[in-house]
Amino acid sequence: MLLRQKRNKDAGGLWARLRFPRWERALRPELTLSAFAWLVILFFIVYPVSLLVIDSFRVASTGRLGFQNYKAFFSDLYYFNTFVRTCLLSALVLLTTTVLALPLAYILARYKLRGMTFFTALTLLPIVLPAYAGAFAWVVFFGRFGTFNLLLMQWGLISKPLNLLGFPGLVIMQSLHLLPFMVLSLMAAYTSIDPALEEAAEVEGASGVRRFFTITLPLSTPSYLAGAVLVFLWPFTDWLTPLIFGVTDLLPTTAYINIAYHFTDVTRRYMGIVSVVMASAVCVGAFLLLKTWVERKRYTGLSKGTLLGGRTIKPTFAVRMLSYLYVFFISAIILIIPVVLALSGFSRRWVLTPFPRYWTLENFRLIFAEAGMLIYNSFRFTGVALLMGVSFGLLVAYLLARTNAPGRAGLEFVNSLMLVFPGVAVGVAFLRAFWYGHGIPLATHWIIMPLALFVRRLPYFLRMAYAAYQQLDPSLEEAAEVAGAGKFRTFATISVPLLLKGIFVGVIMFFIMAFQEISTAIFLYRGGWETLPIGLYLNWHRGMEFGIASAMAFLMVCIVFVLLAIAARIGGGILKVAWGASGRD
Amino acid sequence: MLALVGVVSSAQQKVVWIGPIYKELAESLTRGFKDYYLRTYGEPIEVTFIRPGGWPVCVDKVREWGGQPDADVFLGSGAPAHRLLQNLGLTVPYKHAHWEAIPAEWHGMMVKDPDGYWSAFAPWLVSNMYNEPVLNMFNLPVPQTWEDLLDPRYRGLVAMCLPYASGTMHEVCEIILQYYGEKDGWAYLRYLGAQVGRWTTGSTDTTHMVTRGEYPIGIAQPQMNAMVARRDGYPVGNLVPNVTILVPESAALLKNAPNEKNAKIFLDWLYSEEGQKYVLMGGYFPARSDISLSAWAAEGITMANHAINALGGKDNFWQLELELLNYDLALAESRWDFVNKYFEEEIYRKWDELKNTLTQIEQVEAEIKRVANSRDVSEALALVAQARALFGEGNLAEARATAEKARAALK
Amino acid sequence: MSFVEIQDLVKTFRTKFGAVTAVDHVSMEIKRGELITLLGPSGCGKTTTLRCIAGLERPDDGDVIIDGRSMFRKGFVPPSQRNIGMVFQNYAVWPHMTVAANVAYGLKLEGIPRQARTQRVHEILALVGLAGLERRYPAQLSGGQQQRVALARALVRQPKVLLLDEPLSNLDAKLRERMRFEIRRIVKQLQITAVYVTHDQAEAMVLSDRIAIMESGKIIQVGSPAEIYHRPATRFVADFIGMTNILEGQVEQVDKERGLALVITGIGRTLCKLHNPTSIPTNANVYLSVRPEDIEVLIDDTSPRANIYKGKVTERAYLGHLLYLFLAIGDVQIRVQCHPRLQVEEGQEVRIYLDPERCVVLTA
Repeated sequence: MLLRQKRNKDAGGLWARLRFPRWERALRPELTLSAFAWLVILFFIVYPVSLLVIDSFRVASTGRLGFQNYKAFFSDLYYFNTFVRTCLLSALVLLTTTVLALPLAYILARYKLRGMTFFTALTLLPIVLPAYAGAFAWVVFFGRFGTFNLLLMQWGLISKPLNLLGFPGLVIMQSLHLLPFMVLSLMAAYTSIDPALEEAAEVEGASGVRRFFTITLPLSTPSYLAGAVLVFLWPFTDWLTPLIFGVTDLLPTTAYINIAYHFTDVTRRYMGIVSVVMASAVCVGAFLLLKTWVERKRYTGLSKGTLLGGRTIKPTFAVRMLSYLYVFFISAIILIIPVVLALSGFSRRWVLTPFPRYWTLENFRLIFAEAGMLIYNSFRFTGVALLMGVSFGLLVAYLLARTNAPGRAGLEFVNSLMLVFPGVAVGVAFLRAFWYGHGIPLATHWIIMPLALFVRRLPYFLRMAYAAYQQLDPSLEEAAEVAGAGKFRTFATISVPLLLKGIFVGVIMFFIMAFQEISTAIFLYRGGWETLPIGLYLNWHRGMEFGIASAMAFLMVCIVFVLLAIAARIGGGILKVAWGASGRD
Repeated sequence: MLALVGVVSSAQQKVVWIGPIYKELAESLTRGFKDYYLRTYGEPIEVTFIRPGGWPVCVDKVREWGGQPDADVFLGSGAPAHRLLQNLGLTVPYKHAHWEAIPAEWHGMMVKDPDGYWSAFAPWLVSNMYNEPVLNMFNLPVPQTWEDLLDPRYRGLVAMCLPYASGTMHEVCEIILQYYGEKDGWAYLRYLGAQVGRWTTGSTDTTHMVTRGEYPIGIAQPQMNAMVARRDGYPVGNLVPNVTILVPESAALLKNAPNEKNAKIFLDWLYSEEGQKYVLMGGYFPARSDISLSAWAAEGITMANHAINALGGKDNFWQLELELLNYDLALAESRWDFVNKYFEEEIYRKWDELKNTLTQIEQVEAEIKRVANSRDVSEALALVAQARALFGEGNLAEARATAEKARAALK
Repeated sequence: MSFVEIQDLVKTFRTKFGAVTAVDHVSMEIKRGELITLLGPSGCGKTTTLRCIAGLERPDDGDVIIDGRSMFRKGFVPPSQRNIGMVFQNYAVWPHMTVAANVAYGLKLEGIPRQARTQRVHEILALVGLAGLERRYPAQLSGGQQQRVALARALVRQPKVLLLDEPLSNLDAKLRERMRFEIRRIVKQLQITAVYVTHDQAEAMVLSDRIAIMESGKIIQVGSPAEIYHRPATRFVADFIGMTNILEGQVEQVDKERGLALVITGIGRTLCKLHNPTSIPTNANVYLSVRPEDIEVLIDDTSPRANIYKGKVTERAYLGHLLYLFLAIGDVQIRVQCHPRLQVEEGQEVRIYLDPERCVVLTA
């Protein structure tokens, strides 16, 4: 009796479990939902990725497991150099974006200038543009006999064309693509710093540049690092831009080529898989490192994308003019992308002249007449992926925000990992896991395409839905329950209508990101499943169809732009929407 | 709803092709065959074309299907791919209705398989491509022979891909190796590697680089690429080098083809005069020996005029007069993987080192030339020749050291 | 007899820093029609207790009986089936519904026909003073009005129990004071059983029939406002409710018959009447609680009585309607409340008298 009382007191939980009917606990809906969510995650993420990692240890000659592939990877100077060169590219891209973004973000966040909303929108454009679209435009504009070189030669500024592609061109192109991530991170930092902190420094006698370097910059560090890691990791995941630029000895590009062209050489395939795993390991590792670091050292509310407030300054005339000049410069470079794509898309045979001479709608006619399937596929796959993403995303967001179901932290963790996981890795892993012979033959059905998009782009929607849920006061739902509504009715009549705005922006971001996905899809598509990005890639890859590829890219830019405008309208401004997208790839 | 669509589509006539042929040909053939099928059989046919990549990738795909293919016809690529498919037991013989109109061999090269596994429907020569205005801008002549390509003035202006990425590039390597012999062949390829300005992802990427003027010279181009590009208004020309081979772009019936009946109908049509016209309109040379391009031109097929121009005024591909390399297909097959691998490891991966070494040798040679009148340079010349030989053997570090020795001998 | 019964409720939360017992074996009985307040500082477990009654939290152990029906032990009854009304701290008025739709939500779920529904909504809105605002959206209402919507919504279904979770804490001071009376008026008019959670003792005093003081997950004392104020059970209660002087001391002598005790404190010997407990061992360590208003300042009276002490005025605080004096008696600081017109200067010596009836002896 005494013993029993003691236990009662010490282990109330256990005692309660004994006394509460077991079936009731088992049927608690959040447990069922959590189990379901975990099943999905296990089947579509953990299972394929584990197979991929196991494969990277498979020895080509014997088929057994061993460390030979990794040994070969690190002892083969070529692969090692690939790894080093990728790191170098990452470092240079990070440096360039930092140098470009520090003043840009400051101007956009702090100075009260006319037309800044427009320029902010413009400088953030690359975030939603597919990277390869930018690369196409760049090749046309800055090629050996591209517009830029030809104009310079015409004006007599240079006699021989400059080689602006290759490695240095790649650095600039990737920096341009990643600039918005950095600008957003820094803007978030600048605007979330309590104005009093800077004012205090001013009162103490530090002003201008000194204040920026001693107060503003250190306070921005955690936020900066969040952006920096995304920037640094991009060269480890992007294989297509280097390929377009003719730089193939980078980790993801080598991986893609090795896997896509392994032919009879099985060793090559395994080296490709090792490269993929190495790239993924770098991404995951850097991400985890950042996570622990930021959690330890957080000055400002980093995760709160509050883009309101902060200090605004009215600059002097000279500073104002310089700022405008700088913003114009960046905007002009970014504007090259859609302009060049349009020029190229509406013309044919545009070579060796600064501007096209033969204008036509032929490219677009071809797209709509003969490649209508691509557009149809893109919308179909993205649409199905969206349905999966929204239903599953809402479920997980609910679990994360509203229940204490076990495994929540894990769900969130896996989800955030998917943000940095290379698309090539997902593609290869899916092909490995869902093909005949060695896996579950899911890849024989077109459903694999939306499934892959769903897995890869879920984080975008989930982040939005989760953020919306966190902002939704739980008592609004509790009030409905108390008023007599069951969980599901509460969800349908209270939660969903109130979450709608956040969900809708998430839906659009998911759509944009899934619509332009290529890294994973390129491994999984089969005849008849080509999407617009794949069609674009193939048209480019097969040569001579540059006009069509450009027209496709231009079409994608237009679609993305329209969607973005809708999202910005609903989501309350371009910045908030872009913030949601900034966790990409 | 989905089930309904499934029922409807399964009732429809279908044929699926897989292969590395260009999109334009695939589109032309699709158009022609659909029209023919509807006209002849009174019902429409659905044509699907799968092109996962160059021929190695296509063969790989068929191999992946493991005897239960998703396609009926392997459409395109030359003898090596078809021999491989045949050896793997993935194709079956089928002698189409116009079998006799395709020559059995040409200048010592097979044009069709005697057992009926495959036959050429669109022959072409392995050639290179150049962009004339761009060469003019650099004040450079058009290189005519393989030797010409090694001129240092072309350094950095050559685009080419790796042999495993393109069947055509692999053939180029094989041509060089068989023409020069293995030792000198690899030496040549090393020199050629040092000329490269950009490694492309495939022969079509190379075409793209040359037509856009990014690089004036592209190695390993199917002969008809220049014809098509010229038709499209690009200022490029075809460069048939002094030594080359024929690629009999062929079609074959896949084993266990799901739509075998339609596949056979397609093959019969492909080699018919009508089918051959669609081959031409798709930007390839027709394969039948009994056709006249000028007659087709008179019928109003404008592409026939482009073809006559590209063939130097000849009325039929087989009338081309040239010497072909005595190509040893068995040897080529036996070292397929080795060539790819060796090329990648010895040339592609050592690209920078090759360039640096060659530049260094050339610098020493220039120095020798400068002082040749004033003193005895025979020792230095011998050393630098040795350095070149070492370079050809791939002993790059030694080559550089020897070049330095030559330089020292000048002092 | 009791309408709502809380039986030995335990609720533990797992946090980063380990398990925290928010509700620690809480038991309480609430009579039909009674308005009871759970009062305590933040984090004392009062809201968790309330949420257990609502079914928004599941206790680890214990049970809640509402009108004879077990809410946990015999199978969990979800909040939607408990027939309760609840007013949340932040009102939780659904922003996407009109005032009328907010109030009618629960009625709709009960399947009440439209006409009756409109009638009931109309009546209840009139009762809370929102007649005519049916079609407004919450964003168009002031904080006080949203509060009334929340109240109307909670009351419209004529719930068995009304739960109010700090409903006034987000209002400004003036409005808060008015709403106290309003809520009490409405609840009493409808004769509804209500549990009210607050950390504001003035609110609790005004509103409640009874108050339950909670500290660290436990109920310390339950009683009418007057009982709680005048006869606090512990030092914590005395300190938490109103203002008081706490003196540490030791019992020197006990007169059981008269119920008196002599306690030595920092200011000297103090005679106290024992109320609760009525007896105490000598030498026990105790606290004395004496409220500032129970201390009398003797200006001219020099008669030698018990419980008279001499002190020096160190500070005076004039509040208009009253005057606080801070006296130093030895090392002890004593706060005294006196009439605002009392003429005392800082530094002046005064004599004070502590009424033994009003000196409460506390053992904990």
